[in-house]
Amino acid sequence: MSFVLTLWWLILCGALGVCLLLFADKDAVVSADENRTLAALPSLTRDTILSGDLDEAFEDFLCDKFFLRTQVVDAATAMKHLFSALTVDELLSEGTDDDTLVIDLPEAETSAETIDTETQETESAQTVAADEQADTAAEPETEDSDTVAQQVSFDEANVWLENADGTKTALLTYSGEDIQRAADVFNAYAAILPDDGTLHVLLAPRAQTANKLALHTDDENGWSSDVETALSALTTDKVSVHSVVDILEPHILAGEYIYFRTDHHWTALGAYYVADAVLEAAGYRTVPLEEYQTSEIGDFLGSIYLHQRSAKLKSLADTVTVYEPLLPAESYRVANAYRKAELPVIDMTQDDYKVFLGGTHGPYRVLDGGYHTGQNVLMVCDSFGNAMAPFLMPYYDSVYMVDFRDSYYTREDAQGSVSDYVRRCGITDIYVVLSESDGIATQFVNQLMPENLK
Amino acid sequence: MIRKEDASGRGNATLIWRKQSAPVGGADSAESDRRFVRRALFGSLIAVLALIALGYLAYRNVSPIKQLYAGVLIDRGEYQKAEKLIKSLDDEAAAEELMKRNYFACGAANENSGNLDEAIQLYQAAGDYTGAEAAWQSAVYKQAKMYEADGDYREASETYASLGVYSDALERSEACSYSYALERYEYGYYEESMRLFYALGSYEDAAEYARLSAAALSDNEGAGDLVSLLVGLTDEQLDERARLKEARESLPHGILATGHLHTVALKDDGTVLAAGSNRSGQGNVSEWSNVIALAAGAYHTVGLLSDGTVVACGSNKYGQCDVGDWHDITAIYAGAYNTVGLQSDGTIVSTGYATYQTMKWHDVTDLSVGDYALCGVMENGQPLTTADELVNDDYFDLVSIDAATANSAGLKADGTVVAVGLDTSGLTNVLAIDCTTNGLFALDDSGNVTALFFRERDAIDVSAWGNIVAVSASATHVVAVTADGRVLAEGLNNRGQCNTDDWVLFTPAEPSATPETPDATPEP
Repeated sequence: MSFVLTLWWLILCGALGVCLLLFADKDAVVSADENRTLAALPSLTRDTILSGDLDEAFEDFLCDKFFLRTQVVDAATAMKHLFSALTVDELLSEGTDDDTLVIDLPEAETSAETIDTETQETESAQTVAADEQADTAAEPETEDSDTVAQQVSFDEANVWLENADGTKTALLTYSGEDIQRAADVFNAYAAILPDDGTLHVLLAPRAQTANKLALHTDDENGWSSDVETALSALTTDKVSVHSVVDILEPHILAGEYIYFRTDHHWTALGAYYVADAVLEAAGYRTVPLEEYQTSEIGDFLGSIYLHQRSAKLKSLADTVTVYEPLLPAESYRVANAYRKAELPVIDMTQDDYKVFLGGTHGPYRVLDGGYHTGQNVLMVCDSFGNAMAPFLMPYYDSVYMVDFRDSYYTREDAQGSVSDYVRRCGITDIYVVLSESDGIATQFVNQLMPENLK
Repeated sequence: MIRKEDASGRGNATLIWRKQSAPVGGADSAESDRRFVRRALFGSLIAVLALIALGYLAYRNVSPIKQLYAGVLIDRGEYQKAEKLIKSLDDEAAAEELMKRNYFACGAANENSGNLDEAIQLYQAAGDYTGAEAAWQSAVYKQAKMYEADGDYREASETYASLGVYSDALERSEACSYSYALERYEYGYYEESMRLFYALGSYEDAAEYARLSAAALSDNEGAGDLVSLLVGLTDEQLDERARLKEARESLPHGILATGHLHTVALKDDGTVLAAGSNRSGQGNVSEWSNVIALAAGAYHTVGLLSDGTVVACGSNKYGQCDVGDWHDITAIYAGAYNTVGLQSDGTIVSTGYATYQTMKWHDVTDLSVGDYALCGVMENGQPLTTADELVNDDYFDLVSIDAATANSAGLKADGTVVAVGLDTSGLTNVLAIDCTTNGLFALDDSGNVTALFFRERDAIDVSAWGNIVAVSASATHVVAVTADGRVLAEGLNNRGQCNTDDWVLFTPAEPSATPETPDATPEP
């Protein structure tokens, strides 16, 4: 009997093996679900056999590509969530390690950044002075009392959920030290711009934060943020800190689809509202949304879903709406301030957030929207900038973008600092567009931005 | 079949299958068992392989089978079932095509049952499916006729208009607009009827009804400028308009044009000068002759010849220079990547990146190509636009219009200027305007140019200029012709687009000191 069972088992394994070889993808593919590269079918060579690598590689291949693996994983997570007590609200608001591509600096390095504000202020001033001498094309700040950064004390600043009963719940809290450090960074960046240039700061809440308001519009009056007020008090006149929370609040309360449900990003509509408000405040006549042709991609399951794989969330699959550029737009990878390989502006071959610009490409990229205004802009951003950048095209000759996260950027590839790019590409404005997970109190502002300035 | 305990201790599994008559135990029995196991294994292997093969075949062929069945469901009119099945297809291209077929068939069914609204939407969803567009047009036309028959003229007009050049849709659209305006007039909604009749221009007696509507309004408090205009202007106002018109017409037209990084100018001998970037060949105009007007896009230059044909040079990436077969052209206009011509019979021809919906436009006297929109002016001063945000209610009584990106400016017959987003209240006696994405340049009857900008940092200082007769501007540079034919330039000069110092376009006619006398020696 056991012999028969063994034979049956062997036959089953053989059948599975045949199925694996027939149906499995034999190439190394990137799994968006797992944010990693799945193993490829190892090559059968003398060396791999002798070194024993073949066994190991084949084992990896089997683990990564076994027959119906995705379905099995989905079924397992579905089972998990079947007995989960989490509501859809909780699922939508659950945190994810969405920006897992952000480098994890050792704790010591992060701590080293936590220097006292007075010292940092002095360093910033010295940086500005050094820049003034070094870079004649981009004139930095002078000692004009209107433009010198202030030293204001804040214990903390919050993004608030305002309840109907008058109470407030803090959604995000930043320490005074974090605010001061971020302000110093923004001031340093603004200082490299021409006299009439402006650095716009946009700190975008993620969907998880926005959903806390969006899902309870009956109970809460709204949300507010005093982070921008705190930052504005500490930055020079060349820095314009915009409250994304204030810009988006009426749209959220109106139930507009400005954040994805299953992904942590804003939709193109949300990005448009923010870009439009900032540009109007800067004196531009903006292009109405109605002028753009749209196309849609359905059944988009983003990072929040992929983190949890909940069947409840799957039923809330998103639709990605893409606003086509009005004029012939082109995009290029940029290194050493020169245009290199062409990249997409809208990539309809993608079925997720990467439809915007085809995802992030480093070290720098440029969008030429076909407009001629005599101004150029640089966006220092994370992926939130990808949906927003196309809406800046009508107002600038070229929209340069840089994402300092280490998966996309190395100083060697960039072949120049931000100061170099500002000077050589004729940058007149900078937009800092960062999500809350890459914004204040993160390595992005603490380390990545300052270290790439010079 | 019997079940007995196996003496060999192998368990009873194999015995279940043994024939009742077969002996139990012994050498024969063992051999028989082995043979049986071999056969069972072989049979199982065959079965598994067959199952795999069947599974594989099903896996490979499930989509075609589903497609076939979806087609059957569509033919049987079970559209919802078909839709569900189509959505489950993995082959996206096939699914899309089947879905279009489903929409089309469902649309036809709805049309047959008189549900036009639903049918129109379904035909639209069917997209480029064979016959879908024709069916959509037919259904929309039917719907418009129904609106018209019901007396819902506004809806009928809009519905006809959405059909474009289909059958007599445009004519019917205007007729319905007129009927609607008449209805508003009869009900006493004079302001609305005034604007509606005014927009109809020279259609039947619309102009007269516009005047009658305005007259009915003129006694009302707060009657606007359009009312004054339509009711009648004072002799003083009419004289002033005549003076401005004469001054405008005395200015040279189309002798100057600015592209993104280049400048072109027309000499009085019909040849053309160019400065600035020639990277796309936009400056290759030295061979041109008999030119009577110029226009420039971002990277191309267009010239109107005296025989009504058009020449172009520079970037032709989007076909913006494909003007070789144009004829009877009376005016040319260029946008960043487009070229537009106005023919002597009022027809608008265009080529380039964008296509403009101008089927309903008529009585056009002036055009302007913006970055993404086309604007125009009708004979009665009414603005025309393909982008509503570029004009507002202050745009009437226009003689010319100039569109940029999301902004435009209009020159009124009384010499004032309207512009979205800019305060133009201080501008009077203006003869020509040039609007850019950053602001506006206005040339007045004293030869001065006033510049207005959205943002201070984009400002170009032209306050020192005087005695100007023509002006043209890009976002970053502006050029002007003086009364003595020189060309002035200000702004960005990174490609030499402002190097026009030595240009002389014409020599001004010397004012005759003494009256002409008859020739003393007449020819024989």
